[in-house]
Amino acid sequence: MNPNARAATPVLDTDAVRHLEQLAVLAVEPAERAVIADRLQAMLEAVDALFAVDVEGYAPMWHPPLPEGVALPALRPDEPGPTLPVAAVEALAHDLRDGFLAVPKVLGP
Amino acid sequence: MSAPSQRGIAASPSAYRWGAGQLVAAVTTGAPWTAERVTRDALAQAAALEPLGAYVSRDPARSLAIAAEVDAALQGGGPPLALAGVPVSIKDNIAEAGQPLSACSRMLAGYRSPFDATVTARLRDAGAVPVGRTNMDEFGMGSSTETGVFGPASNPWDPTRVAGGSSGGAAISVATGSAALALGTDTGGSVRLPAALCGVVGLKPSYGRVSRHGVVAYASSLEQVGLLARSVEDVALGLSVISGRCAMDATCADAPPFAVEEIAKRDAAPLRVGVPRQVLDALRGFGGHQGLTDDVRQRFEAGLIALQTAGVDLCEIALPDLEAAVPTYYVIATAEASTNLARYDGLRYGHRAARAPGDDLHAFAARSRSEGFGAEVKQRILLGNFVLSAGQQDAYYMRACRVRARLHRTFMAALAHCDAVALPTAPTTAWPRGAHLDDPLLLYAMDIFTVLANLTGAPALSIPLAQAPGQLPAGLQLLGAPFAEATLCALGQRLEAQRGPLPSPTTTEFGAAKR
Repeated sequence: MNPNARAATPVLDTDAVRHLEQLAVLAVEPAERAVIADRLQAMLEAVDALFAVDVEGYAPMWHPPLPEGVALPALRPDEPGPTLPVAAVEALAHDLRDGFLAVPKVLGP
Repeated sequence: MSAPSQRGIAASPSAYRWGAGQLVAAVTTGAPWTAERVTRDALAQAAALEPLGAYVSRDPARSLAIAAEVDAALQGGGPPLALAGVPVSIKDNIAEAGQPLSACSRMLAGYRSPFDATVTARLRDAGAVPVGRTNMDEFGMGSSTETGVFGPASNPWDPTRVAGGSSGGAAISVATGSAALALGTDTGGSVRLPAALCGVVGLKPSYGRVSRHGVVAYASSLEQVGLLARSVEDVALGLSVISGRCAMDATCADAPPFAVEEIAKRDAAPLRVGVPRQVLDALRGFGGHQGLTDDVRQRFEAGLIALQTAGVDLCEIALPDLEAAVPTYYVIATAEASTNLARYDGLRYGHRAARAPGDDLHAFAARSRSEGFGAEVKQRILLGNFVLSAGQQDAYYMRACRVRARLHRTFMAALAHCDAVALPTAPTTAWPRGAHLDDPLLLYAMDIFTVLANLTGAPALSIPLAQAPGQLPAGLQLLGAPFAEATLCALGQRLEAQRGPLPSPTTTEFGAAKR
């Protein structure tokens, strides 16, 4: 695909917001939906400036590169080591049963 | 830094305006100053200025116990501690074992971290005393410290105005003296913007310089833990403590900690600062919103003259495409936020909604998330899902990543002509609280000068500009090559020396007088 290709700015209406809610695992109050649609639309129009920049020949940069002579660490050996105390983690749980973290039923309603 | 004279100590009723170096010297010398006494002063200052909303949780008994441990270690003839007795504030998205950690979100209300972030552990090992957890925009998503679940923070220079964000509480804590050093995080300017608006120094280190183990993730390719203090010397000291390789963070470079001695070496060499004047003249802002105000522009130019007077060469540089930086940032940041925040589903930890009859897992998680996240966070997650969705990913996310590559190349090309690039930190001074909350684009426009450092991984330092009576604080920002923090600190110290001492916020004096 030509990196400079540009379609018209998409229209984000309340149906589009409902679709995004599904993707984002969110449930917006129906009354809020129109306001959010307006804001997202304004945001999309504002980011149109992206399409004024010629990016031909530029590969996507996912994260900043480290300078020459500076490297990421080698991965540490894949060996068991100390972990958090079990009690510290259990203290964060909503519900504990027989040493297991109890979560809501995940299959079916 | 030499120890304060006995006369200086006796004449001062409280250590709340002292720098970290001064405090370390005094506490290490011992009576009459101890870590405990300094901590009591800091806690009293925090309590007196509670209405500013700097802190969201404090545990004075714990702070005093930690201070007593520091005193005992020093009295026991232990090794010198780089931050002995220095009161530090911790932003509420950085973990401290046993302390609340909410990122100012209802989603994490009641959560207590089971472990220390690497940065907080290193501060503690160096003898620093945490005095409280500071206010922020929810998950760092904001420029004003108004969107957190604990309520807004106020600017110490004028409480009707914002402190800037998202590390607003951190900036207030050092501006008003309840902390000499503050830990913040900077994803798009969240350390530098509040530093500029509250009149303190803010440092966003290079990407990979500081461990992020134990920091609540918002946008991982952009954010770094940063420091705020009342002088360049103090943020440099803080950086020397928190930086360096970390076995728990594979994105943290395999490099030694920052060495403060590097600053003098850089200062001995000629230094040149590049100014992208053409960009500043032409800047139209973001989303049709205002660019740079005349007031900030004039003070920025005065700051450049001060640098020149201090022996720094100035040159004009080109920084094309700067106006694309904010759009690039908001596409990438929301995309990364939508994936990072997917972990909050109400199942394992975090806010869990009451289960309604007929709920399937998706509906239940969606309700938990919708109750737990605030409006701004939800909006960013939705936008992030849009820019990553099938059919849009190439147009938005991939394109933003390509523009990012171009911005990186043009920034590095500019640095071929100079040691650092100067920009204003924010386009305006602090704005009235609540003024821009209905217009997110206006708030996003405040990041116009700060996001470039996050997109490119560059270090950036905001230094307060001269402030006349009646003026609000403004900052000058210096951006350098990755891992060239020493150059920025050398330049920052020259600017500080030319500028001279800054006034203190009136609310600080009010707080001190009340004690």
